[in-house]
Amino acid sequence: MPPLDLEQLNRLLRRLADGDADALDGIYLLVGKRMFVLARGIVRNEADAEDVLSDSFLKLARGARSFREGTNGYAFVMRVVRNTAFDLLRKRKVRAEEDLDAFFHLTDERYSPERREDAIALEAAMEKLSAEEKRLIYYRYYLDLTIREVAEEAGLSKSAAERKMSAVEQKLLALLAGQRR
Amino acid sequence: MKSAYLERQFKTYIDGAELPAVDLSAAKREVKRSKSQRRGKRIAAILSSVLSAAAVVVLAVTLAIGLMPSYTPPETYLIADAAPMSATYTSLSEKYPEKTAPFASFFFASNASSEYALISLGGEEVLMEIELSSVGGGRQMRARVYIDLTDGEKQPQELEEYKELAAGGAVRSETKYENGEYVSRAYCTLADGSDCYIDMTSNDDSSLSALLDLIRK
Repeated sequence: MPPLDLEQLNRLLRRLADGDADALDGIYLLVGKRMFVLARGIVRNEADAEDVLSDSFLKLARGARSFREGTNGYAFVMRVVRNTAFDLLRKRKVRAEEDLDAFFHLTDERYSPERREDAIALEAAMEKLSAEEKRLIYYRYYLDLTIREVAEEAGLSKSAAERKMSAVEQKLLALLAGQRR
Repeated sequence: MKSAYLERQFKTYIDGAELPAVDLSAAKREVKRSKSQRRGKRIAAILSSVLSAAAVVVLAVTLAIGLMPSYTPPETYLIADAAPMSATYTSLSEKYPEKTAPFASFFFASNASSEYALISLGGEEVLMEIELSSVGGGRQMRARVYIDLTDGEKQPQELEEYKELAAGGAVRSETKYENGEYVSRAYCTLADGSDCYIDMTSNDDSSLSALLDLIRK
């Protein structure tokens, strides 16, 4: 399974910035699930997550021209979703923070049967990480932040963030390899 | 560099989740509306370079009506299209006490200054603009602050992208070092929930956080 096609997403964002409304359909198909999972992990219920998703697409429609060519379109989109979700919580005077566990417990009754076995294995491995380690994985693999951005979010120096990120990745890879044996 | 293996694992994992159907029609209308507005402005600019001032006004209005699709009034607006009017701290502190209270120290301090304006659209006050400056302790700072007066119901388009700056909880900001100065943009909310947007230039990279600490107490 290839990783997210960043080039395709960036092309869609450029088309959107040029006024091609149909680019929104492409963005929805390409990253809609990631946007929804992120929204749900922050607002913690499906109805609000759907509202956040709708509002995020509206914001992308208005703000696509602020996307700078050559930068990471996926991080741009995830930032819009994250901020929209935080805005919703703040309007309700609810503390705005992510529920990390929600990001790593997706296998409900509606989850794809074909992917369920691998998903459960990944979730079991994630369970063995500390809260700090889960947060680093969330920053890097959900939000697609750079190491420098991870460092800023986590309140670490860049070198410390690099070391910790590398250690978490090695730990997670070892856990997954152990499950495959 | 990220682990390509973990990236694939998480992509597959997330792709197994269900995605609700989302109605994108409102967003698509917004894309088309923005495109029409920009086209109208471009044509008006071209005409203004070749026609007399009176003829430009008549033609620009005609074109705008013809180009814009019929729709309910938008929730976004351009600050450039709105009318600013100077105001005093004293008058605004009576009318908008919660929004001006965080900036009181700039009014009373001898090493700082503040100038206020109200920005109106269609007779409604939509935005408060505050020009701030301060000098002291080796730090010089100039800032322009915008405070929303519509409880979030109207959004100035020029400031919308501030909400998408790097998220740090309730504050989003970015700072760059340009031409020997720190140039910052930030978005936050005041204690009464009002949206607040900041543009700042300073010789000190801690000026933005100092201002944010002051106004978000």
